[in-house]
Amino acid sequence: MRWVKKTQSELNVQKGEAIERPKEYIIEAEVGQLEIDTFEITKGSRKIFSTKRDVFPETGPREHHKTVCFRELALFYPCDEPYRKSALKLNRALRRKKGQEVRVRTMANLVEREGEQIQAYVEKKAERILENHGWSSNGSIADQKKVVESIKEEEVILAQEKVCQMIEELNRGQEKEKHIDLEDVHETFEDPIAIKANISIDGVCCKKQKAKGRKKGSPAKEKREMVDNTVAHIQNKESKTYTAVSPTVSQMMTIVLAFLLSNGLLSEPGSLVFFTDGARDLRSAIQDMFRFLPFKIILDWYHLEKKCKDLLSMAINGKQIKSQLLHELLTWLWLGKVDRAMDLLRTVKEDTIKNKKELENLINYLCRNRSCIPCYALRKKLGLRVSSNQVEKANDVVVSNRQKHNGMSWSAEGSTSLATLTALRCNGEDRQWLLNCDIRFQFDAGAQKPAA
Amino acid sequence: MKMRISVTIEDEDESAFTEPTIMEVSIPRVEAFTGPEVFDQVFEQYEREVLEARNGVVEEATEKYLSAVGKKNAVGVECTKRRSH
Repeated sequence: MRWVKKTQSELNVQKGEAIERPKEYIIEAEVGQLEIDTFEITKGSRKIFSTKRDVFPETGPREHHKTVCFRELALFYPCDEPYRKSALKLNRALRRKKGQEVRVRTMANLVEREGEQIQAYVEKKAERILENHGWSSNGSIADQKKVVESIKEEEVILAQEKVCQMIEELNRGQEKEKHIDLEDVHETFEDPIAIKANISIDGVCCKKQKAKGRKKGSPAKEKREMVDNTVAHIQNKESKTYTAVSPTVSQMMTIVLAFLLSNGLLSEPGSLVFFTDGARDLRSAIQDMFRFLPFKIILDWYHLEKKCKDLLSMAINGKQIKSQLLHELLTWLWLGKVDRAMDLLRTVKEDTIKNKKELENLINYLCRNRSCIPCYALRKKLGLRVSSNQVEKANDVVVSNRQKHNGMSWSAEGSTSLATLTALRCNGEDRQWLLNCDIRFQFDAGAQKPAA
Repeated sequence: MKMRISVTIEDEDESAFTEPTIMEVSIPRVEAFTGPEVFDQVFEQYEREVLEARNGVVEEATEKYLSAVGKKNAVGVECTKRRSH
């Protein structure tokens, strides 16, 4: 089929009835709003040719087709600014005439639809990768042989001499009871230049849009509903990064596993380290999905410190006692001595306790996360990560900077779509998606020129 | 296939104010639009090339126009100075 205006003689050759529809197909392009004549050839009731179907991409009724250059602007302006400002900016940049302006709602719908398409594509791609490597689409092992071929359980850890030397340096000048004992340190210390990947995962939420306005006199809701998104920040041993967004934790686990497999990271020797804020759903999801190989979960120091501060604040009376207790508690936790920290909390004098339940909560929290609390002091001395700050930054970049402002509320689809598009741009996958509707699922995807 | 964009700036009497600016740009052949599945990729090449050429040609023409504006005004200033001496 050729993209040419058919002459009457050409139409006669086909011996069909030719219908010309002037300016029927509308294309939104960066060069302008283009109104194109279309042609149809029918034989009886059968449509044997239609430029709207056989040459141009099919569109819905009253829908305008959008070109790659137009989509590039209309999809990514709203990632930085509100829809209203983005529409103004777009209409100004394109010098759109009155009546041809791009509407705010059109942009929002475009973002939402494109975001959903990306999510569906990533999900499909992840499932395909998992199936090719011996997993079923839900992440359970389907073909043991293939799985074994795809993974290498070998860990690469730092030499014991180096660890001992650092322990010595840390212990120098410290009181005896605050000494780190190699025998008490149960965790291994991964070699940072030979890791499989460092993965930080976190949930981020923003206010949910109300389905309809509150009626006068109706009681206010107790708790505002929120829209949740899960963000993962994956870093390889060369410090290259990739950010993934998904609406649920379970979906995120599938994406992370597929990403690791497709980049061959699980078949490399080294440790797989997860950094989380201690959320129970995240921890159990990681444990469920990655039970086939050894991995580490490390509780982010900032969150541990904050949790202790918050719960102690509710549990203990007296500012001075509280800060003294907090200081001592954090000292033990920084050294990875969780038992000592819990003992300290158990021996708090009764008369200083304001709320016993909160104190018990803190003890339970430490007990629950004991396996994820390493010797932070030693990890830091060895130059290893103790924090999930990378994903916190990713949260800001893909969600919070745009979606968490006064008066803003979001639908679940709108929030996830916008975050998905922002992450797509961060990963340098935007051109590839716009041109070929494909996602490379690789570090530094933007560095490679998409095939046109 | 080529697209030639030509910009001419004329005075009211239709005489050339600056010399014309012409830019040629390669665009995909119509045969490249083989179906809806390749339309976006092929049209992207067209649109990108044409937008760059359009900006380039207008930029060049505007430079010529403003240079002429500057030249005319400079002559005007010289005349004024001469008169004041």
